[in-house]
Amino acid sequence: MGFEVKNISFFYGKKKIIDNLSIRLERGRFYGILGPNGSGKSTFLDLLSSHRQPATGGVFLNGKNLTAYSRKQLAKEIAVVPQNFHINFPYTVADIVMMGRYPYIPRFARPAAADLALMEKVMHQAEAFEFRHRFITELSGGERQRVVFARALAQDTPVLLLDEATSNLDIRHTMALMNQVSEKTQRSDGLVIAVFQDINLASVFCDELVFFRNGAIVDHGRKDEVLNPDTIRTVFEVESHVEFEPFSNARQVIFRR
Amino acid sequence: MLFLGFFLCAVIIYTSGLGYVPISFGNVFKIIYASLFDHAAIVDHVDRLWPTIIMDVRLPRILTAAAVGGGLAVSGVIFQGLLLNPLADPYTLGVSAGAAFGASLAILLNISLIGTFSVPIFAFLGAVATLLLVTYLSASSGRLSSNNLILSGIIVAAILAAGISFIKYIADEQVAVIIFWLMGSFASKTWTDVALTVMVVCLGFLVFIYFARDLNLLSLGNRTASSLGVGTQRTTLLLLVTASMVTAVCVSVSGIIGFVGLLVPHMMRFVTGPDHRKLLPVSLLAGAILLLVADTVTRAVLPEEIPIGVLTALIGGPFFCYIFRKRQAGREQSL
Repeated sequence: MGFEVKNISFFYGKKKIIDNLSIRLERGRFYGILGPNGSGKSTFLDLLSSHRQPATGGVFLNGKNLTAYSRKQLAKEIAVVPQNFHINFPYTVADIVMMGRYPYIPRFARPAAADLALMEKVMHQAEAFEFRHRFITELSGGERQRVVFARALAQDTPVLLLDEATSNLDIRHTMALMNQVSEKTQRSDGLVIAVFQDINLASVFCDELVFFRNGAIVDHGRKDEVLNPDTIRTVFEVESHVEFEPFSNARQVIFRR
Repeated sequence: MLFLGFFLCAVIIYTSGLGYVPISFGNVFKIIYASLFDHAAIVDHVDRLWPTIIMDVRLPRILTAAAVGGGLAVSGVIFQGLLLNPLADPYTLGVSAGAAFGASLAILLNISLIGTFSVPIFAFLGAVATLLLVTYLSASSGRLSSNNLILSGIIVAAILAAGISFIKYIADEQVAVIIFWLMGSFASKTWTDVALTVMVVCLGFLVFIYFARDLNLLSLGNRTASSLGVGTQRTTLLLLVTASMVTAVCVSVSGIIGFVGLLVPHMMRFVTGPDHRKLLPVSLLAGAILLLVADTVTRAVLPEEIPIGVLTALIGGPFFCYIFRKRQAGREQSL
């Protein structure tokens, strides 16, 4: 179970962003997506979340085409932490996190006690609880990212898509967030697909790595098999040294000037 | 909210008593009660003329003003939420320019085929045609984005503004009529106007409140909204068209009244916060009260009637500057 992506392509105008791409993404695993800027990583997440529709091919979740799901059903299956989150209206942090429960609460109903309890739990998890009454417009970039992460957790979905979700976080919050995410894949058989800029961070936490270049997958597999200087060279055009690092218990990439 | 509702009723009754012939609150209440429940006996002791003044002259005007105020305020809420822009108002998409162009054209060509309604109908057609053009322009790239909508709205409005200037230039004696219409007025409104505006504003409001929660999500951006279960394209288009229809009807009966659609949502957001489920009803009532009070000032308090659009901008503008400034200052201190 999980995603099955079959021969999808996507265009912006005439420019091809995703080029006849196929991949299976299984439950219970943490996938890291790596690739240069403009290689189609974010667009790929948009296609997985059905925010955009592929021009050809199809994306299947648990054996069923995404187009066959209603929006509300999908919101209970897939949560997204988008890359940029700016907002002009002074919602409080608690308001924003509660929006993660909207797919479960009938249109004119009040949130149930269980919704409120879950909301409090995820705010603690994302370390956003202490500023829950502040306005989202007044938070720093990192605090805002934690709020959006809390909202995605509140959605309580088997699938979680992260688009550079730690780009504004300090190292302590990055570690905390990544640990929770990988726990989700191990404990509750969740599926996490995250776009990374930091190859070494991806290597520490992910089970599998997927390398993108020009809208196609260059290499994909268990991180110990695919993370090597050849892949880094093909994908990023950078020379590197890759070695197993015992402290992080993962392969790490080292660069030089 | 309940308080605002009662307050609106009280203001309607109170302002009905104001004017050239002052009538007391109690008597107004009796007259309205008498005609509502066909109970003529209780108004036997009052002047014969009073029921006519209240029911045929003042009340239609007052109710139209209230409905237009409420309609403009809720449309303002919708446009600000959808366009992710707190500076948007019901006129952002060029709806007012379209209506003004239609009305100016009707006045210039002295069109009266449909009697007294020709100017409002032309205004309405102008507004709707502009809306269609703007959505067509911004959707040509495949998706409705707020930036595209605002940009297309500004471009179309600029072209129409030039058109209106040209009409004013070639119109000799009608130029005063055009200018007066553009500045807005509720003088000589009938029960037909009341029925039309109240109906459209109520229908629009029901649509808005049904989608209020989706609007909360849309105001966080399309990607967030779609990941939380909103069909963004369809909902956006539906809300946009409904809000523009409400605006177009308001403009066609009253002329162009600025600032209500911008000011009221902002003021109410300070009170209720940005949650549209609370913001919409409160804005509806506050907009109705505000425009009604403003209209009463031009009608009954000032020695000579001035166009209501001028009054709302003259009072609303500086007031907005004041609260905006005060809020900015307050925020700096709290940080």
